[in-house]
Amino acid sequence: MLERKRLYPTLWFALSVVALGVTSVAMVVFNHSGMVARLTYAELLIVWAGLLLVYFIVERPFIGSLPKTVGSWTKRWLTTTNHKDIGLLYIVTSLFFAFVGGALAELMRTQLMVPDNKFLTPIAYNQAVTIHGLVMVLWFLSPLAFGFANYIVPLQIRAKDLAFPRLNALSYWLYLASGVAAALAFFLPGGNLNGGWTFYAPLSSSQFMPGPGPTLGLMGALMLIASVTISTVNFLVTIVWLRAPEITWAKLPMFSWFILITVIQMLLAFPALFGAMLMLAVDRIAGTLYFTSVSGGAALLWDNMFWFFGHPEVYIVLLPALGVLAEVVPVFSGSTLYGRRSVLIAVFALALPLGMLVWGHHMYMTTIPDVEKEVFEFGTDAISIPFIVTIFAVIRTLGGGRVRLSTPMLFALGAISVFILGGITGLFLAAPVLDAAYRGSYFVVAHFHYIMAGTTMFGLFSALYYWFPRMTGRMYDEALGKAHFALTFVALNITYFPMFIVGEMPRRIFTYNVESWGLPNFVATIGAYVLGLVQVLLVYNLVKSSVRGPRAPADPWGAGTPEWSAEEPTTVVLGVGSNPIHKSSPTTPTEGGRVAQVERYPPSLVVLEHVSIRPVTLSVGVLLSLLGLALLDYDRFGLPFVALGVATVVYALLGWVLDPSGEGEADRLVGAWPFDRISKIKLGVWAFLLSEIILFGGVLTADAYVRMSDPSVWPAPGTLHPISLGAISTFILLSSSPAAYMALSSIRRGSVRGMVGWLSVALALGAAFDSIEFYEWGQLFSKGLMPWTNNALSAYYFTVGLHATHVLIGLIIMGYLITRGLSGGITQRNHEAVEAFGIFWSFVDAVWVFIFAFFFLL
Amino acid sequence: MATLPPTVLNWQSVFNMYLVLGVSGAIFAYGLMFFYILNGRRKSSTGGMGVRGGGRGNLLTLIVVTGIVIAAFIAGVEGNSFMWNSPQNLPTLTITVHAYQWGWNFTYPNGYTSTDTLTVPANTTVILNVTSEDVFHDLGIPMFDVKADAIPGQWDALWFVATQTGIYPYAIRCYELCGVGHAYMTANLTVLTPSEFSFWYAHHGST
Repeated sequence: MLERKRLYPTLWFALSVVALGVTSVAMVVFNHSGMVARLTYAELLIVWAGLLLVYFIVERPFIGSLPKTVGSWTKRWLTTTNHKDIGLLYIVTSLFFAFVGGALAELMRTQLMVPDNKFLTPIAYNQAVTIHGLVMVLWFLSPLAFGFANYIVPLQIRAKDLAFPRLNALSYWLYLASGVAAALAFFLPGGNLNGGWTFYAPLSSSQFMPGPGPTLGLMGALMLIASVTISTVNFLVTIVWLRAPEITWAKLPMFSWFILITVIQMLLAFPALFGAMLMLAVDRIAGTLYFTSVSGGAALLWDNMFWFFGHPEVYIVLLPALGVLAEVVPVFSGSTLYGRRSVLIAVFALALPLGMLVWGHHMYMTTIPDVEKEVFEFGTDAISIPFIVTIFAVIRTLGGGRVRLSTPMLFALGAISVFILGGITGLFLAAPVLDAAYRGSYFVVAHFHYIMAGTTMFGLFSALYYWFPRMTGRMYDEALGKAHFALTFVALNITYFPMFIVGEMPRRIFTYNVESWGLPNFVATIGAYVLGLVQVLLVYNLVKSSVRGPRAPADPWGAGTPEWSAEEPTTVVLGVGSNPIHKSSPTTPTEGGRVAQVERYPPSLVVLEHVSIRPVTLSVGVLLSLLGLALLDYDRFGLPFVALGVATVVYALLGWVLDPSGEGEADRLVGAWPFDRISKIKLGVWAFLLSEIILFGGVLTADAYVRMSDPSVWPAPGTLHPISLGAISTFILLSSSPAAYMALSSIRRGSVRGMVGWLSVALALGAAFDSIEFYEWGQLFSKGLMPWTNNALSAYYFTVGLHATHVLIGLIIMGYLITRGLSGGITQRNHEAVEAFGIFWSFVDAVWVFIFAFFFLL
Repeated sequence: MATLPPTVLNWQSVFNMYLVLGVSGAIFAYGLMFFYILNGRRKSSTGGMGVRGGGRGNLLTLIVVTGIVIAAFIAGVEGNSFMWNSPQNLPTLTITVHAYQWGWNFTYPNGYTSTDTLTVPANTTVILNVTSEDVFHDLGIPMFDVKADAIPGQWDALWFVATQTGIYPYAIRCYELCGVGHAYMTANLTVLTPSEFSFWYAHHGST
């Protein structure tokens, strides 16, 4: 009999070996001749081998003589929920993705080096161009910024950690798994996404981009948005709620301010993309028609939904870098930020509302009305004003005192320099008349690379050098840092300036036959090689200095901001096992000495409040489910993956809610205007609901758009199914809201039985509602009315299905609350979960009113 | 005869104004930056931490920049209205364009179609009504600074007046990624004198 500790790893090992064996045998026996089938088998083998590899990494059966600290090291990084650890994980992972995106860019530049080159095939080029864009924006720049945010923001506001540390770990692992999904997609039939990072409809539909590969790439992006949403809520609550009493809004350091503004913008922009991508994924898997139906206006629907996210995304990526400038430039100019308050006002105006009013400038050449185009032109012109105010304030800060040109400052100044060029060319793109020459051309490519690869990357590199001493306790090599800056700055301009010169060359063409475009492209390619190569200096400097660099003083730059003065213990305490272990005194090992003391890590890596393996398990489960769903697109082969993935997700979630979380500690009450009387969890729920409002708002707007484009197929009220049944289900759902409220009021009075009773009523009503919805679906299926029958049914199935899923989630939460209530986990003084659920449930009910009106009454 | 096409003249007048504004703005910004840096390098390190106000300075930036931006907006709007309204004082030829993966199908009023070459008369307003048969494309003619998206289910339009006769290989290109043939989605442009065009058109009719 194996002891329990050994059981799970051994099972894991046995299962992966069996799966590997069975798959290999099946591959040979069935002798699949088709390319697609072989690729699928190969993908399966990769997954099983990956699972096996995890076993060897975690358990190391043959190298037991290794010091036990190594095992603790693996477990520590897999189970940590500490904001600094997560921050470092984000930074390292995003730099890895920068390497991936950079390698794809080098492939593209090699292909474009000379006219009529044959280095890449068109489909390979299209995949490279798509994934390069997605990876650089979504998996490199933003996560790098949020790596710093993870590390620095809690220190700047003197909080112990983020508001929800385990959710923070989940964000990271979902992010990593989403990147793995996007990378795996290259090896699936159909290849990866290949319609550009904007994947315009209907090119991205199954008809023009068939296969499970693109579907999986899309799933990866969806997963990333889930990670981003969790992060957003977490940071919002953290900055609003967990500031120490002495860190008032007026004293909040600029980087934290900019992160706050960024997450507000993220909360508004990402749900729109989530809605659009979900529709596209359901189109591809279940056959709805949102982005395939010409009569439903598919192409412009995607344009609007994508760019509603897409342009704010530019600011989402840029603002943290500007926040770094606002932090670094004053420190190295011996001054404070010039006009701090007015800069904040400008940046707020920039994020909201101006940032949300510019998306149409990507649609100047479409058929939207001319007046609309000019409104967007005005918005785009107007948004340059807060940018110019901000950048001039940063420049005038330089005049405040003695300027020190250390590496962080050099990168900051580099960012300003390229921002001036990138920003001014942006003004050119604001005018529809000029856009007639620029749309879809290399002028645009040059412009946004000056903003993204120039300003944003320089700003974040500045942060990397600036906070390196804080994160490692050691100084980086200044001479190498300066060389890295000089070479990067020169190479960047050699790469992107020629693209202004070939401004009339279309974007994303894999080859060209115009002699005069040859020289600028050749120069750009040489620049790209140098740009890629000199990053070795960065990696070398980081690695070498973090091991052997001279010890850094407490505040090496004389910055005086809170993150440099935070005290922290020097010992890491790690629990062994999957359950969270509450912090215990470093000197008293628990569980018979199975707590490792790891003292050789620098002081930045501190005591863990608790550890949890659930975020990793959950992310792996989601990854497997999505891989399975994508494979279903091609074959029933996906089903076992979905089953395995869902089982893993359920296992992880069960563990999650049953683990003692350590997150229930009393909130610190600070004067947090305007949230004086709102609790941490409630604020999180409200923030999440804001993103849900945008999601459902986006979906219903899309439905309305489809309906206006093609009103003829829309059935008259009462013909699809009887209004009376719909009214009954509406009544049932709406009456569950008061029941949820009664549950809350019961527990406020202290009656657990009352709460459990009322929750059961709400649960029954919700279940009845979902049953009626699925009964109606069954009725429609039996009449042969499928999601792909027409636009109206497509919209109906998608929207009602999305809502029914929310109801289902509500039912699961209620089941959990009832269980907790029965076991005494919810009391009069600790009933926040019930209240948070009540808010969510009321929202779900309220959304139904709109859906009912739209599909049943109008 | 050698005058520039009106769409190009219009484009250039807006572009030149933006260029002047942009270059002067950039020179000012770079100048200020380098002045402060060089000045700041000379300061002694014993000055201590300076504290800067700056609300008024930022307000000044706001006012000046708002003025410049409004000027740019007005220039842009004038350019737009020229681009969106085809001239009425010239003879007009309307051609229908169906974009497909991967090429262009030009259909003339008399029913003649061509997929590799667009043939037009000089000094005539040519209107292209553009749509797509499959995915999103974009028809661009860089030599006239005009573009129109080819969107399935929608009709977009552009106009131009050619002023110089000649044969222009690959003058027409697709500017939206539309699949593996995107790079090859080009067409040639032939500009004939009006009389040559009449002759050509009469011999390429639907009959």
